Amino acid sequence: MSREFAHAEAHAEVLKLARILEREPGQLAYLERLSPDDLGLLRERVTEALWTDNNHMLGRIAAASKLLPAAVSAAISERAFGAFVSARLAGLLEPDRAVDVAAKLSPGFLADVAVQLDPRRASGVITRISADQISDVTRELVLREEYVTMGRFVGHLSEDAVTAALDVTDDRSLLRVAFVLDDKDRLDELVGQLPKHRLAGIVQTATDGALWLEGLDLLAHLGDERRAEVVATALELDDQALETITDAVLEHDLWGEVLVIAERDSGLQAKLASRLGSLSPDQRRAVRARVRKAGAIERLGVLGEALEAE
Amino acid sequence: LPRTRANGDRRDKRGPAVDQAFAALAAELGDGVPSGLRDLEPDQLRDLTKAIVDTRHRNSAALAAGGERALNMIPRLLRGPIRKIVG
Repeated sequence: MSREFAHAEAHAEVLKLARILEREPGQLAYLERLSPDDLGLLRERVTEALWTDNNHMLGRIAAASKLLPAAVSAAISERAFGAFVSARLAGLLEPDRAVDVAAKLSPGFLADVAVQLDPRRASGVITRISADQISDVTRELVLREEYVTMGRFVGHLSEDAVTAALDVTDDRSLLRVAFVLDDKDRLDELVGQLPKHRLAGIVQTATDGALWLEGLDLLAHLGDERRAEVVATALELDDQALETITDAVLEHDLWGEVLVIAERDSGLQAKLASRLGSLSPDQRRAVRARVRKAGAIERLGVLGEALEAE
Repeated sequence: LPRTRANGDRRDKRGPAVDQAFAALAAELGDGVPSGLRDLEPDQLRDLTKAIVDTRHRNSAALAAGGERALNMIPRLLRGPIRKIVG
């Protein structure tokens, strides 16, 4: 993982923690100097602490709610308890009952609950929610740019729900969600569910929206076959697109990540080779070492030659 | 922190304050707080602990207030049995 990726992952963890603690991310910016692993463990501990508070009382409320029609429970959730308590209750109700209640809630309130919910504690409920409802909530979360929340849920959705969610998530949002996904091992499977024209859309969006940090991170988490498929789309990019990839590589130090594209694209090799001069001698040596370590010098054409000529 | 003499000295000086602030955080979260958090300044550890304590208080208050509001929304006939379960 490059330093830039580690920093971005730390930033994503701080966003998640800020959401849980209802703080502005900037107020917790001092945490970004910690490692992503430490931040992940910290978030785990904080979640555990918050989700064990008042367990006894919440258990009794969940038991009592069985006496009420689902519509009344839903109204109470939305108008009396609010998002956090409702999120806690979701994990304590029988899953079928929770789904019945959720079906009566507005997409806006469900989105509020989703922001507060620890999906691992209500996985049995989330997987049972209809694809239509997931689609409505996803639309709301996309509007709010709640990428962190969406990224936490992907691993808990049914296949139909994932398809429905992908349908209402634009390419830019998809890249942003993929970048903060809790379970990045699922990225290959997720990308596999996209129709071919969307692969090209994602690559184009990475170019147009200057999201190559996210784009290259996505590529780095795909299996060989899928990556080749996406890269084949990327190779249709024009000179301007290659320029933006090169800018991202230089700005974010993504030399390790860009190799999967550069190996297959002589235009990109030339573009990157022409920009080597803008690096300091130390940076050039570091890039050469990384490319050698990856055993990619031979496959990088003029870029490999330029690196070896240093 | 980088292992320089200057930082080493600084760490020595701030050691007790860090230990104290870290212990307060651990008291709030229980075992398993990553030791990497000791790299934070004491003020930062205290701020993090305060954020957690505030959130716990806020959540408990929301539950108590929500319970009161909820009772008023429950059909009269069911209030007795519900109160009995909730206590």
